[in-house]
Amino acid sequence: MHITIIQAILIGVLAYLGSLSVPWFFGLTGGWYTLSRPLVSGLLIGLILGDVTTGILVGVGVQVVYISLVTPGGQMPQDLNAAAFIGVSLGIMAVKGGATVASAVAISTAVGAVGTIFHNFMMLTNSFWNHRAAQCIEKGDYNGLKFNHYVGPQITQFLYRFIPTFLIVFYGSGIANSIINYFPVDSFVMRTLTALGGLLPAVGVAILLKQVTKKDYELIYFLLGFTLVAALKLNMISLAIIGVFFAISQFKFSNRIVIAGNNSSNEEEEL
Amino acid sequence: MSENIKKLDKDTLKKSWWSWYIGNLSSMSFEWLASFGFATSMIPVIKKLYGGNKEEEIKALKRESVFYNTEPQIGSIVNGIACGLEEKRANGADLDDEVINSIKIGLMGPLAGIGDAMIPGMYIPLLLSIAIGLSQGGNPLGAIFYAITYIVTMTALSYFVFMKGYQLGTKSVELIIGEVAQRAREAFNLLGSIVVGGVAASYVSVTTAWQIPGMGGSKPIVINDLLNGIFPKMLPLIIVILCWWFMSKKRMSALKVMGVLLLIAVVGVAVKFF
Repeated sequence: MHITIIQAILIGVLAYLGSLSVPWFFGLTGGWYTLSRPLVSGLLIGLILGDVTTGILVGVGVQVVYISLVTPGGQMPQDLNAAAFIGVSLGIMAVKGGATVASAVAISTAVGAVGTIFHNFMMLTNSFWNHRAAQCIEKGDYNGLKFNHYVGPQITQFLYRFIPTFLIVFYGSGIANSIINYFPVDSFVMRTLTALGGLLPAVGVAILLKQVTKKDYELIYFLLGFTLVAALKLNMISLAIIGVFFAISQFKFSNRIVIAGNNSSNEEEEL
Repeated sequence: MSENIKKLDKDTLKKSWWSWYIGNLSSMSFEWLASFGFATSMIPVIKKLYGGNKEEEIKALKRESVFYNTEPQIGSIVNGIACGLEEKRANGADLDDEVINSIKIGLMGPLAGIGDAMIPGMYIPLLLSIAIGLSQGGNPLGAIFYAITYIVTMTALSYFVFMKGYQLGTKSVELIIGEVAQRAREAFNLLGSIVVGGVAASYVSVTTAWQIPGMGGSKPIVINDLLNGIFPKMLPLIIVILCWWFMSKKRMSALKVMGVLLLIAVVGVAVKFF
């Protein structure tokens, strides 16, 4: 598929708006936790590239891999922004070129693993702006502090996010096409990527399970949900209603005393 | 003193909350994280309370710009508490820099742990699971549902706990780490487990192409059908449990587990399992 310069610019700007630390779209809540979710970016990129269905299909696949990514203390084990914008864009192009959705998921996930470099660059250059902000505080210079907090870091962040996304999306379709020509769908490489794309969502699910189950027997809740969908073919809304029933019962009938603030399981979270 | 009580009005509080809400991590770095986000959000409060007294203004700005890091969305409760403390201090209460700092530092740790476990660790996956269910066949409804629900509920929550923090002071933290909140979290964890089970059954896709050749012209036995006859989607379930076991029992990082899956994919395709 052909990518116009306007399309690449739009995707680049969205990638910037959705990256961690950008205040302009409801801050952390609207940017990092909304725009940078692959499900949402899949819809937006799909709209820009003119194929919402493929956008959502690829977005959903990548989303499951990253369903419970936690970034404690600014540590970024995998760069979701790169996966959501560069990865999903390349994934959509690959699917339009004839690749499977599963192989697109594998490609996007790989982009997320490499993309942490952008995040670490930002964390380093922001020190420069921080020192200037600290000087403004010494002088009681409110406007200087606001500039070095809101505006300055965003100039560098825009460059870190917009330029790579724009370039890779703009030139990516050519690269994606030649890769697909070189490795047809039934080649060893593409079959491996497709198999991997089917396996990877298991990691996202497993991370979540590790977070929400304190005792091993609690895996039975997961098994219940799995069985209801796998064996009884329930859809998600029905499953959620059954889940809410159990959750309310648990809340109403558990009256034991617990230690407040006991949250040791999250301390060593790493991806 | 009594005839001149300084009070933060709703407008100042709203300004301070909004500044934190959008800009908490705007200048994050390894060294400072949310420090300047916190300091910047205190500007309206400091101007209101110490306006005119430049020395006090600078002291307050310095006090509120020490190292700070927490889960910013639910962590806005600490900003509310800090506004309350500054107000008391401006009215003559004996709250020196150290007291205010130790309250902030003491709260930011537990709130970071609980906040990360609650929001990206539980609430977001839950909403996403439902949204993924609504996205069947490329339907855009799921993404729209997630974006609207998340932004609306999280903005409201962040504002609500900020105001509670201001009104109730440190007692307000009970809202988040108290016994009722703990039970609510456990109930949400249960719901999350059930729903993510459904996501796993729908989106982890592993099938095998292996067959056992049939005897004397009868049909070959398809291994995949055999396994699904024992338990539907048995292979995806095995893979999920395997990943969980690697991570929670063998303490492997997710990136390493992805490496293991790559190995499984390569070997699996090579031996024509996939």
